[in-house]
Amino acid sequence: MSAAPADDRATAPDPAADRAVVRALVALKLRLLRNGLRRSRGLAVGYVLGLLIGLLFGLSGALGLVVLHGRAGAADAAAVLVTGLTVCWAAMPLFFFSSDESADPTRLTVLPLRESVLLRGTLLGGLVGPGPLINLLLLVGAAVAAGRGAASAAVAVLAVPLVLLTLVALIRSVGAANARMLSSRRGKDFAIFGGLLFAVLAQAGNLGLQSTLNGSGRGIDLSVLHPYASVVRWIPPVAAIDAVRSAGEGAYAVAAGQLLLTAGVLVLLLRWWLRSLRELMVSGDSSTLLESSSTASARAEGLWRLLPAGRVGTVAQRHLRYAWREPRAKAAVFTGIGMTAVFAVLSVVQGWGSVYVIAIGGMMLGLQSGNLFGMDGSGFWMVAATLGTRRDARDELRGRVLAITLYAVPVLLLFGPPVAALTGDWADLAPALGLALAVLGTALGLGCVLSVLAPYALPADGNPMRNAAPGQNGAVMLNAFGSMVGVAVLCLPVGALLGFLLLGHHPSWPLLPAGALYGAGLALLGIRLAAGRLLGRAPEILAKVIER
Amino acid sequence: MEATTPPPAVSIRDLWKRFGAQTAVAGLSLDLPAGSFIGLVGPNGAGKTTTLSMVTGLLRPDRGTVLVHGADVWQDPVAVKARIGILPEGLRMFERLSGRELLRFNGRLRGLPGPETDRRAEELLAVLDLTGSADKLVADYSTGMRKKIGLAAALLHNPDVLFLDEPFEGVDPVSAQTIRGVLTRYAASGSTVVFSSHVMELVESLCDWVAVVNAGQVVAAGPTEQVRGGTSLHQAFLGLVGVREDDGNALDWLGGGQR
Repeated sequence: MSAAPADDRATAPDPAADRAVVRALVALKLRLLRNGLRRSRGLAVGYVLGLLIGLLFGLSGALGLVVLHGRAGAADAAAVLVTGLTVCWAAMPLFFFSSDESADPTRLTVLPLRESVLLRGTLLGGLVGPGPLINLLLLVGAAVAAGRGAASAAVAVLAVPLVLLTLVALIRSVGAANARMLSSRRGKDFAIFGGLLFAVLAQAGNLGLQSTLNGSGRGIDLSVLHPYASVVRWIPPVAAIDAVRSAGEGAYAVAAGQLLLTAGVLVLLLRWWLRSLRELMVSGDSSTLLESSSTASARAEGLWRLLPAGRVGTVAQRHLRYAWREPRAKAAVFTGIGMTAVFAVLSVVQGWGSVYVIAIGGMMLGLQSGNLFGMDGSGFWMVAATLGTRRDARDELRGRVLAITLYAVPVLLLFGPPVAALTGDWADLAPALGLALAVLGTALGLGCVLSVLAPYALPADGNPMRNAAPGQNGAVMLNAFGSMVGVAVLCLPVGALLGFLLLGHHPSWPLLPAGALYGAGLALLGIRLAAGRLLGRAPEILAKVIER
Repeated sequence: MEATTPPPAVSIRDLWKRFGAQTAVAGLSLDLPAGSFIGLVGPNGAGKTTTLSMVTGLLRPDRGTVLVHGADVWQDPVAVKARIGILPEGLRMFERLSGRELLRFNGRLRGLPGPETDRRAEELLAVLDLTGSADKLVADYSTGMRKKIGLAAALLHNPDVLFLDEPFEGVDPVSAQTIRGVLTRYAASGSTVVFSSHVMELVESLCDWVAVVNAGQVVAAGPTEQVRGGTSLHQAFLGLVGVREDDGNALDWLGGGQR
C-alpha cells in the first residue's frame, strides 16, 4: 500500500472522470456476463444455445416484419409487436430480476458514485447483451414494416434508439422499484399479485397469437390488429414506432408529437428509477423484522390441532406455514391457481371450453412437490439431522404431500362447479374431478421422487418470482417439462378408462372414485419409492439445495 | 465523555433509528478522536451495526447528524464516501468477479486512474495473502478471504477513516493476524480506524479508544485505559451493560442423561 496524493479522490463533478466511471460500469457488466459463464461449461453451452435461438427468433421476426412492408396493416402489426415487447420488458424484472448483478445497486452502496453517473452507467450497461440486440433487430424490422419513404427513414433513425432506450429504462426502473418493494414485508403480498400476473400474461400472449394466426383461414390476417393498434399507437414507446408511419403518410406534426411523447416518458422513467435507486441505497432491508401478529397465530393454533400428531402433522404444519410466509412458495401456489382460473375462463371465451380443464389445476398444484427440499435451502440440514429411519423419511414426505393436498383438493373442488356452470357440462363434472384428482396424486408422487433424485437450489435472494439459482434455469425447465410429460404418461390408464366409459356410453361417474383412488395410490407409491432413497441421499440433497 | 483537543474524525449528534416498533438507536451522540484505533463494543442487538450504517451513509437515520472530518454525511454522501473506507457486515459484493477484478473495478468506479488502481490492487492482494486466489471468483471465497478482499476494497483509495463492522467474525487465526497487521500499519500512519466487535480481548489489545454501546445509546466512551478502570475490559464491559443472573430452576432437565 502506498500513501496516495489527496487529489485523486472523486469530489467535484468532472466530466472526464465521470465518463471513465460510466465506462467502468459498462465494462463491469461485460465482465460479469463473461465470468458467469466461466463457472461451468454446461452453462456456457446452454447460454450460447439460448443466444443462437434468441438471435434466430429476433432475425426471423425482423425478416417477417420486413416482408410485411407495404402491405395493408403492416404498421398495425409493428405497433402491436412493440406493445408486446414493452409488456415483456416491463414484466421481466418481476420474474428474472437480479440475475444481472450489475443492475443491483445495493452492491455499489459503499462507493462514492453520484446518482446521475450511476444512472448513465447502468443504462448503458443495460444496452449491452443479447436481449437488447434481439430487441434492436425486432425494432428495426418494425420500423421497416411501418415506414414508407425518406421521411419515415429519417424518423426511424431517431425512433428505434429512442424505443430501445425507453425499454431499457423501463426494465431497470421496474426492477429497482421491485427490489425496493421486495425488501419490505409487502413483498410477500406482491407474491400473490406476481403469480396471478404471470398467469394472465402467459395466457394473453397465447390468445393474441391464436387470434392473429387463425384469422379466416387465409394465412395471416392483420385486420384483426387494427382496433388494438389504433389505441396503442398513442402509448409510448409504441408511439415512437408509429411516428415512422405518421411521417410516411406526411403527418409530420403527429410524428413529432409521438416522438416527443415517448421522450417525455423516457424522462419520467429515468426520474422514477433515480428515486428508487436513491431509496434503495440508503434504506435497510426490513424483511427480517418481526411481525407483531401474535393474535392471528393464536387463533390459528386451534386449527393446527386437527393435523395428525407426530412427524406427519408437524411437517405438514411447517409446510403450510411456509406456503403462506415464504414469498416464493406463496407465488408458486397462486401461480398454479391463477393459471388454472385463466385457462378455464379462456377456454370458455374461445369456445372450446370443457370442464376437463380442471385437470390442469391438478397438474399445476401437484407438481409443487417437484422440489420439496429446494425450498428448505440450507435449512434442510435440520430435516436431514432428524431423519433416522426409513419411517422418518416416509413421514417427512407424507407430511409435505398432506400439506399440498390440504389446499390442492379444496381448490379443485371449488373450481369444478363454476367451470361446469360456464360450459354447461354438468354431466362431465364427476369424471373431470376424478381425472383432476388422479393427475394431482400422480404429480405429487412423481414430485416426491424428483425431489429426492433431482433437487435444485433456489436463489438466496428473496425474489418470489425467481425459482432457480443462477445457472440452473435449464435444469429447472427440464425438470418441469419432464415431470409434466411423466404425469401425462402415468395417467394414461385413467385416460383410457375415461375414453372407454365415454365412447361406450357407460355412466362416467365411476371415474370420480376410480381417479381419486388411482391418484392416492400413485402418490403413496411415489412417497414409498422416494422415502427409500431419501435416507441415503440426504447429504447429496443438502449439498445441492444450498446455493453457491 | 472526554473532550478532545484536535477536531474529532467523526462527530455523531442525537442519532435515532427505529424499525417498526423497535428502536435500534436512541439518541446516540459520540465524538471519535482522529488518528485513533477505535473499538465500538456492545452486546448483540445493541445498535452497533445500525449506527455504523448510518455513520457511513448506508442507512438513512430518522434524526440526527453525522460529521466525518467536518463534512455532513447526509448532506453530501458522495463526498464523504470518497474519504472513507467501509467494510460492512455481510457485504454484498459482485460475486461473479474474481478478487483481482473486484479491486480493479472498485478503483475505477471510485475514479482512481487505471494503472494506479492496478498497482495498488496487486500490493493489497500480496499483503493480504490473496495473490494465489486473485483469479478465483468471489463467490468461491471462504469467509476469511471475503473479509480480506472487502478490506482491500475499503483501503484501495487510501481513506481518512476506515469503518469495519465485525471484521474478525468467522475469520481464521491466520487471516485474522494478516488483517490485524494491515490495520495496525494503517492506523500507525495517523489515519482513523473504527471497528465494531464483541470480542473484548481483541478490542483491548488493538484499540486505544473504546465506546461501549447498549440499547442504542453510549454508556461509556474514552481511552481504553480509562474505560476499563483497572480491571479487564471484559469485566468492565459486563459491569456496564449489566449481566443477568441465571434464574432458579431453568434448564434443570439439561444433562444427567435423562431424555
